[in-house]
Amino acid sequence: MAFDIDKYTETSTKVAWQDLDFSDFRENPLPEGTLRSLRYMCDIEYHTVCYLRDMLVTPSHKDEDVTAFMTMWNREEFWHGEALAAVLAEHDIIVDFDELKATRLKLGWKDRLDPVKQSLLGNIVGSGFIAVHMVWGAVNEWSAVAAYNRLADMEGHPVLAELLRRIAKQEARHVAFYATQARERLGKSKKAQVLARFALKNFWGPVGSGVMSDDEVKHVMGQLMGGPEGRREAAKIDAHVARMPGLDGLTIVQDALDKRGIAA
Amino acid sequence: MTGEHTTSVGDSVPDRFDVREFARTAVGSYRSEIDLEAFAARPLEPATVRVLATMRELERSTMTYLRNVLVTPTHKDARVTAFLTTWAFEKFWIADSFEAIARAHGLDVTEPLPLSRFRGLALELAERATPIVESFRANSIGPDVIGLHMASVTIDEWITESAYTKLAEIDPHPVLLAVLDHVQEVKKRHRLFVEVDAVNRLESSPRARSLSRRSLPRAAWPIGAASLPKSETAFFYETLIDDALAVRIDEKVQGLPGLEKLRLVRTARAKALRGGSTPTATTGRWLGRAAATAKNALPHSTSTSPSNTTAKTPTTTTTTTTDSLKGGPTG
Repeated sequence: MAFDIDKYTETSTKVAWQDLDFSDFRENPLPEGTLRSLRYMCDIEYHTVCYLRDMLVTPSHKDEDVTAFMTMWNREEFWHGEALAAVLAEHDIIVDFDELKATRLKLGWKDRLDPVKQSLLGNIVGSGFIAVHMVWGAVNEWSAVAAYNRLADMEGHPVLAELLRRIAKQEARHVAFYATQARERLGKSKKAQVLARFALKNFWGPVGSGVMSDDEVKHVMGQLMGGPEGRREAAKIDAHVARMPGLDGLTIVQDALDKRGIAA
Repeated sequence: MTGEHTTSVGDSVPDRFDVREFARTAVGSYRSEIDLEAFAARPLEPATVRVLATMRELERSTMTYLRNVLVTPTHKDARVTAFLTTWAFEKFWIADSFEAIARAHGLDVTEPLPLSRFRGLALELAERATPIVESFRANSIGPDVIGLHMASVTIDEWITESAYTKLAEIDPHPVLLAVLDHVQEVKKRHRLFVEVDAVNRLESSPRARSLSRRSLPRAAWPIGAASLPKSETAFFYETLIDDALAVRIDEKVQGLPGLEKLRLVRTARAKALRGGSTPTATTGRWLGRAAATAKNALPHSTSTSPSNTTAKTPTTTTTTTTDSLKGGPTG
């Protein structure tokens, strides 16, 4: 299935929540654990620009379709951050730009070196590296869709559920882009397959690991991917990955849960 | 837009540019507002179409610019990145308007740009090295580099604003005028943010000032010009920025704290014009191919002929040199 980039850019929009009655959160506030997960998701969405940077240092920054996608994707994710910040604000949890800056500052040297590493790798390996980024992006977007839908189901709060499903719907379009790109690029290059397999197997971590503390990662993974239901979602993401050319047998999401001791 | 839930996210310092409001009211596609049919009866001047193709490329170069900017501490400033996110979005749609107009004249500007083999290779090497070099350099400098980045976007906005004003003067086609009015309106908010931010950062940091003094003259102007064919940068200056205008823009640059002695635009203009605006053989072939592609795609297109669009028949291949700073100054 081809991804129509023109159609995507023309219909790209910031997620809407003005028609939803957020005052409902004042009467029916969300529980602590859910707010903690929402805070995590909000931070990650705001940090998309850091992932954008990691993508751009590879040769993918020259491709017209890729840059068109990145422009819209980056903005849509920013607005997911805004929408979630609005939910948190109804619970008197204020996420502001200055605090995000502090989070990014805490990343320290690991983060500073990262684009260098990416760039070196990307440029040594060449365009095969774009495939790695695309499959990486696909896994992250699959995870996001699963996480938002699962939280919507679990919480059963109608206003929250509606907002999360709207966000998930946009994330699903991102999946379509990344998965299409990844499938094409992996299909064309054995080298890209080997590289992607190696990178995912050895370096992939749940979205947000590396930016958020391990405790927060564990909390969110435990809430959304723990237990039989959560594990089923994780297995579905792994099944998507395994259907990519050259990536059969990979179980990176379930491995990441095991590694963090998330109950099955 | 009214009635949207606003969070109390802390961007509410009085008189400060409201990044959240800017993001909320971002301006998207303008394509449906452009009366492209009107160009069938009265097309734009061929030189206008050629220069719009260049402007499209410049407005569309945000990801290349961000690539070099985001590897520096600038990416850690969430207010700046929130601005840049929307800035890139709006510029994408400005570029799209120009693309639509060029296409209505039979030119498909989405064709990859032609560069001579030597220049292509040199650019490729520079591109590969730049994020690495910038990352090390700028991270050793620290947050002062944000002042340089904001100054560079400010200067770029001044150059392009002047260019659009001039373009409206030399080809006052009513449809083009409407588009350019819209573009200037969108870009006005970009200037509001970056001008104030650049001045504040330069005023408060001697390091930001000295870094800008050293780095800005090494950049290609306008931002994105480093990856254009040299003939097209020359054509941009030849058509839109005369010497007097270059002086006026430079005077604005000199008004920025610590940059009193810079002569950026005059220097960039002189350098560009030395190369000449006659398309090289490669550029000429590109323009021909772009015209052919658009014609095939649009059976009822209101095209002018490719030779009209290129303005001059390509006959010579000029020797090229390289610009190591692609996509503007980064550190």
